[in-house]
Amino acid sequence: MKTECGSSCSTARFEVDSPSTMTGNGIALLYEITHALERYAESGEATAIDLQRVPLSDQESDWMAGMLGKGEINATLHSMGRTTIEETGTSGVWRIAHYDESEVLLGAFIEVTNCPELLCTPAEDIREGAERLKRRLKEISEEVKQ
Amino acid sequence: MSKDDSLVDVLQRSGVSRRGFLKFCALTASAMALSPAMVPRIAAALEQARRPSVIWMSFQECTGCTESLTRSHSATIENLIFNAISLDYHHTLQAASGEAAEAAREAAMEENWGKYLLVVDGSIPVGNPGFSTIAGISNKDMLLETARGAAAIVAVGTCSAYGGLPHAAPNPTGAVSVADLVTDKPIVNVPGCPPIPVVISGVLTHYLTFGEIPELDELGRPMAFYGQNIHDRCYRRPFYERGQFAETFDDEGAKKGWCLFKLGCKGPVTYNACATVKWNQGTSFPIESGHGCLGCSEPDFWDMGGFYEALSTPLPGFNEAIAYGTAAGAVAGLASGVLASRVKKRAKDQHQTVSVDDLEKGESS
Repeated sequence: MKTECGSSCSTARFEVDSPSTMTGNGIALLYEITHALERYAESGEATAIDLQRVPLSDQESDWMAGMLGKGEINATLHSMGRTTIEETGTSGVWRIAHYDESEVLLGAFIEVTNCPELLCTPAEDIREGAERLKRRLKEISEEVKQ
Repeated sequence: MSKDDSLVDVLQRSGVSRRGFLKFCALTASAMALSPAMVPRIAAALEQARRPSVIWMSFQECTGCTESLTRSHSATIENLIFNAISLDYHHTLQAASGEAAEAAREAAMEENWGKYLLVVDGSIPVGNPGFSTIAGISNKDMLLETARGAAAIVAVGTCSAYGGLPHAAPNPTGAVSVADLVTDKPIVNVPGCPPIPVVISGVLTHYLTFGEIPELDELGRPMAFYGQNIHDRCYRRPFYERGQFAETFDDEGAKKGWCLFKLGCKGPVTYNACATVKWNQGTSFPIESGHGCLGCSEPDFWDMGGFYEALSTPLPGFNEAIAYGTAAGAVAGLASGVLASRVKKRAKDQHQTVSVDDLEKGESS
């Protein structure tokens, strides 16, 4: 962490040397993700990791993001604030970040799966969607008859 | 809003979609420190959950706990949780006071006898009942009367959990904790001065979701939040391992963010979630601001021997000890005896146990 203080700031510049910027949890997480990928490939069992439970320095988060790389899919869910769902460059590893309406980060997760559940349409919504569309078509056909 | 509404009803009326509900469940699992694998179970439980009646009592306290909770950061989520409980009595937050407020409490108790959740912040004076009263009723009488019909009690803050600041020596009011007076109800202690907001709401949500109290440690605290000590989850832990300590608050070590153990940090004996959940919208926690942990979620933290006293006598620089160790022969033998007894005495003063390792370290120096 490196926070610059202005000249009026009485506290000295807070600087941490490079080895200390790594808690060691980043690399452990990457191993956990590797094992989760292998498990998914073998048995189809998905894994979710709550990033809030693991202390990571800012540099370490950036380093991890670099290690996982950038993927092809980047989706945004708009419900109770924004949620970003993106696949990393490591296929099958997704990063999900939930924000509230005022853009405050509420939680961040890594999911190891072929498709996070949040991207899939809930079955009830599909049924409701079909009914709504059928109803609308019926209304239109009645309007045409008139 | 009816008491028979489930949380899902509340959510749907607020226009939350099914995906939004999944998001809510994922964040709820996170707030309760549960594994994300629990999300489907939480979703199923929340679909069934009915709004429980909550009675909140404040005794000898500073209102910091209520301040902490009402300023919890995720407005949306917390609002939804609070919409999902029926807060029937909270004399700091409610407009009514005196007899009208007490009538509301009695009505809520009668209507939900045996089912309501009682939340208490503040310690209870047993010295003189006049030290703290509400509508002329002593804190002790009100607690005992209200506890009788409660399904469970949540003691929020170190005062209600362990006596806290009012209990500090010489304890002029004879302050005691909830568990000192109520022994026949399940009690969850949520200590902290104040507790972390999401820890308070996490415990309430756990009760709301599963209808039971979470798994507790030997001090009555939820394992999910108080299962690990600050030191083990501290980002400065690597410095401790390397023996790099700040010696004063403005030395080179302090500027480099080294371990604050020698400046009195109580992280190694303090069990709480500050290092992972953090404070002020997840911004930081005390150690990140350059100050050691005060140990505020531990019993008698105020009397733990001084906020700036190191937990155990720092060994005179490991390297020096090695350099002089062989030369100092007989003298070292004598000195180590003194040091060992100092470690013991200090530990006694601070209510800690001394491990064999501590004493061996003392002997070897």
